Amino acid sequence: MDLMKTPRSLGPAREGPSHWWHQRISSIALAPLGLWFVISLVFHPDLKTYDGFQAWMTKPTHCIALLLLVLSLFYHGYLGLQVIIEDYIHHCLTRITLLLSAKFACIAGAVSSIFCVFKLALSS
Amino acid sequence: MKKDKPLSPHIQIYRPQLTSVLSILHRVTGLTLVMLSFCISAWLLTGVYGPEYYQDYIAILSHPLMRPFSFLALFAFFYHLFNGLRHLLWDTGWGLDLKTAYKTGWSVVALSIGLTLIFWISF
Repeated sequence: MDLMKTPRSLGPAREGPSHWWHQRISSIALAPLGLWFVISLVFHPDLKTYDGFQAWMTKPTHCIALLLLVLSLFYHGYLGLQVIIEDYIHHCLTRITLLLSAKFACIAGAVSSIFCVFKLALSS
Repeated sequence: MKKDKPLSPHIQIYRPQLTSVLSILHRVTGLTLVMLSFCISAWLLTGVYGPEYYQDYIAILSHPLMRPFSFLALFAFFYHLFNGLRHLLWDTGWGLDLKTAYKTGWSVVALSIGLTLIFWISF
């Protein structure tokens, strides 16, 4: 059984376990953060109006939690998308294009959200 | 040109099991949640653009015609969360036998539907 634990070589990509582990780490972070976010969205009456939303965004804990959420969310999401694309797209050029598009889209989504959080937290 | 290699039929042959259905559902809900992540980015952007945009966005999300979609979105979240926890338990080595997998599987489905209903009715 111990012979099965140690890989003989890393394989052509030279990496792989880190993807698995990062997926787990981000999922552990996302469990409480995601739950907090959904609870806030559904049960916080503030968030249904613009004034309430602005007030909500001035609280540091909300902003920090949102930032952590956005980072973990888009990272975890991209890792998942990567697996799905690699599983189903067999044509090399299409796969590369889709992987890159997914990566850029997730980065854009994350950066846009981070910018918005800072803008809203620091204004008024 | 590389010739297409034939694949034996699988989806038309194998009977769906709880294990396989929940597995593909985890992937589908994950994909849904990725799309919803961009909705979160959009939500924050409407906040930056101003009250008219923000109110319009909230109005769309709260519209009666959107109710089935908000249900699906909440279900996607809760199912992926609970089944994700089930996956993490599997990673520790626990619960991999068929009996436990079925028990935890049904619990995940029940919890997901239950919490979705509670949150959806409150939204």
